Amino acid sequence: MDTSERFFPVEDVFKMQYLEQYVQSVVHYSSRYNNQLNYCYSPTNLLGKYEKYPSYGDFPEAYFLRSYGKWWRYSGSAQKEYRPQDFDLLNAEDFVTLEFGSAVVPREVFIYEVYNPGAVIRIWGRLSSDTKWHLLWEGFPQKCAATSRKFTPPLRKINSLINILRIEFNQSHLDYHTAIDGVLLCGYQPRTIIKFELIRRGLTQNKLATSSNSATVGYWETNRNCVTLNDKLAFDYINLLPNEIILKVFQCLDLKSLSRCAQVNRRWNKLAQDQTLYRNISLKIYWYLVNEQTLDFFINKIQNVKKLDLSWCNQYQISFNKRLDYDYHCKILSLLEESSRTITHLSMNDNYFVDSDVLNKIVCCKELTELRLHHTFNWIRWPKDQLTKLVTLDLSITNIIDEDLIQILMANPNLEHLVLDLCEHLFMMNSVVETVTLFNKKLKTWSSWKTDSLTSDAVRKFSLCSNLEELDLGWCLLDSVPGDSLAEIANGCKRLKRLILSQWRGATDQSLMPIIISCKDLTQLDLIGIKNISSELCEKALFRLPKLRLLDISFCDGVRQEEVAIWRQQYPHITIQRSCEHTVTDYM
Amino acid sequence: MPKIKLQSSDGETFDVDVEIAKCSVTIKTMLEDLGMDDEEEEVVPLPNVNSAILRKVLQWATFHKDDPPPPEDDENKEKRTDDISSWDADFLKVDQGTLFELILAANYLDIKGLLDVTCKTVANMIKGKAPEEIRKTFNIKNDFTASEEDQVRKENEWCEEK
Repeated sequence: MDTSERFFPVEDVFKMQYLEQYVQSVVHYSSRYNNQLNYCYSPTNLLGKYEKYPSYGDFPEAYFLRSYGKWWRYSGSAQKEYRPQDFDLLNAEDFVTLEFGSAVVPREVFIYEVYNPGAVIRIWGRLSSDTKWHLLWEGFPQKCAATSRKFTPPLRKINSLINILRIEFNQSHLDYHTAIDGVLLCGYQPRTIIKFELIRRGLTQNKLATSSNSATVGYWETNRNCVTLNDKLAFDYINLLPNEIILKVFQCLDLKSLSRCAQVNRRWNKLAQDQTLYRNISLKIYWYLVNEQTLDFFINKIQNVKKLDLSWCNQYQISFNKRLDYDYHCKILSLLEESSRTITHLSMNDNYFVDSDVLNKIVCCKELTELRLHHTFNWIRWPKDQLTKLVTLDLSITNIIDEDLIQILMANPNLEHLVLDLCEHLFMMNSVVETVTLFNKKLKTWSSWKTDSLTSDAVRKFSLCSNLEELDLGWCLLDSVPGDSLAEIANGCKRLKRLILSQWRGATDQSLMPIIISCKDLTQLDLIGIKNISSELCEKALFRLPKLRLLDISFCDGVRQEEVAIWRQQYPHITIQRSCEHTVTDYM
Repeated sequence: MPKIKLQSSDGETFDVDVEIAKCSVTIKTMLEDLGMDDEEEEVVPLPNVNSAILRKVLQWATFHKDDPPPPEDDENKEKRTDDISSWDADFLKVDQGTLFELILAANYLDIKGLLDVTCKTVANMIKGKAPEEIRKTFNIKNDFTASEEDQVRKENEWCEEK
């Protein structure tokens, strides 16, 4: 922004049309609350003009992010950073990528937040026929008042055309779900094709000084001069350090800094390529830079790689150039092949390039203990060849089918964490659960949020998994009556810490009581939408569960608001969620 | 509290609590191997550390004497460089000569905590800088030929904005 005084907006030179546009299509997203076909809380609610703003509340007509606060981080199935040196200072947790009808030089973006605002941390822009992402704004997540907000952060001044916006979120500080009702992109549209081409190709740049596009916030700037340089003795002390210590310094560096160190001199060049520096690689925070050359660069360095994170790395995902896509895809295959001998952790969440070919390479990585393929959708069948050492498997929002999942489960006796949220091609969950009880005795985390083909008979079988600590069965129950399944679970799964029973409509005080009596380790209990439960049950849960930290009783109509207010005072260490300002359960 | 004497390379002797001296694994092993544990008036020579640096090292060790032992293989914590305590940051506001001597001393004396925090400090001096800025910061001579430099830049350009 410091170049703003020298910035000449292109609209001052050319005659251009000022355009205001709402979203035309949703290109990609990392988080959703509901199934594809359900329009409630769906990303597609971002299309067109906002509907609810300036009202504030839990509106199914808006786009909801699935997670909030730290609760998901606490889960045993949450991903630990693969390479802590390469951390995102703003900690982007989710993103949504939106396309607009006409390309404009962006001047303003309005984000209509209608529930728990403050999670937007970055806005990127790009032209669909170009590969370069422009950072338009970034800033720390904000604590906001509980009112709707039209968020208009000051945009970086650029003279490039964009028709795609990517919004990144960090919702870890929020008390509850955030919701966005619409996004408006405002800017100048060239009036002729010639002008469009001039701007697109940057041929106006000679006339116009543009601000630089650096993604780093200048965080390190402040730390730079913590050691003062003694100018009188301009001596390269650092050269006196032995290689092992320089390597120890390099171990603390992020991948970008390492690549810069490699350009300092011959000695540093050699050291910066040391394979020990590349045991853990995470390219997630560099998603906007990663292309086939990047992958080429790392292919030479990953012979001993242990952990590899390629989440979000979809440089050409809006596929305007099949050839680039093809090259990139080939490089991913080579990268997996090169690392197959040693890799133990692989994360490719939201990566568009995960298809059958990539899966076939993945199952050759026989040492894999952790595999994350959240929201990868370009594959249908799992390869015949199996991994056998998995401890953590995340297949949420994928097309996995029952038959293949059962084969995976049978081959992996060490499995501890299994995430199957929003898997819409799983129809025989009862058989899946049965397989788990027989073959995955070590299972600690089961999550099948909104994968809705479970019956109470199958739920009852979870009682055989005595190591279970987390059970997310939100919106899962096919038959509405839980019967004695919860009593069985209470009896068999004494170590339960996290239990999610959202929308178990048939549950009652009686069916829930055994859980409260037996599962003394419970820290999170989610009873969203269970209308039959009474205040008495909630009181018992608060009183009898010593470790309880989160109780969600949103849309539990049997509990009165005044009582909740009293409990919040009585149990200040417990977060009691209560979203019911609007009667919306009937939509869901 | 039992004391021992440490002698720096320039001949100065320091009276030090044994417990503080033992945060150096090198000294600890030396004492155990030589059975010097209970001897008094024993002088441990440290020929690789001068008195100025030894004084700094002991100052650091005294402040950190009650720290819990560093976790053995918590590799994640080790690699974050934004967790330097304000005392350490102040302590390390020194010229580069002293900083690098401290690193060498921490390495020789095998004081993990001091070596970690000094290496992190150097890493923070590197982060966010372009190659030329790094050279300038540490007075490093660029010994690439023009064509080599070009080659190396191309190899590493993935991380630069295109």
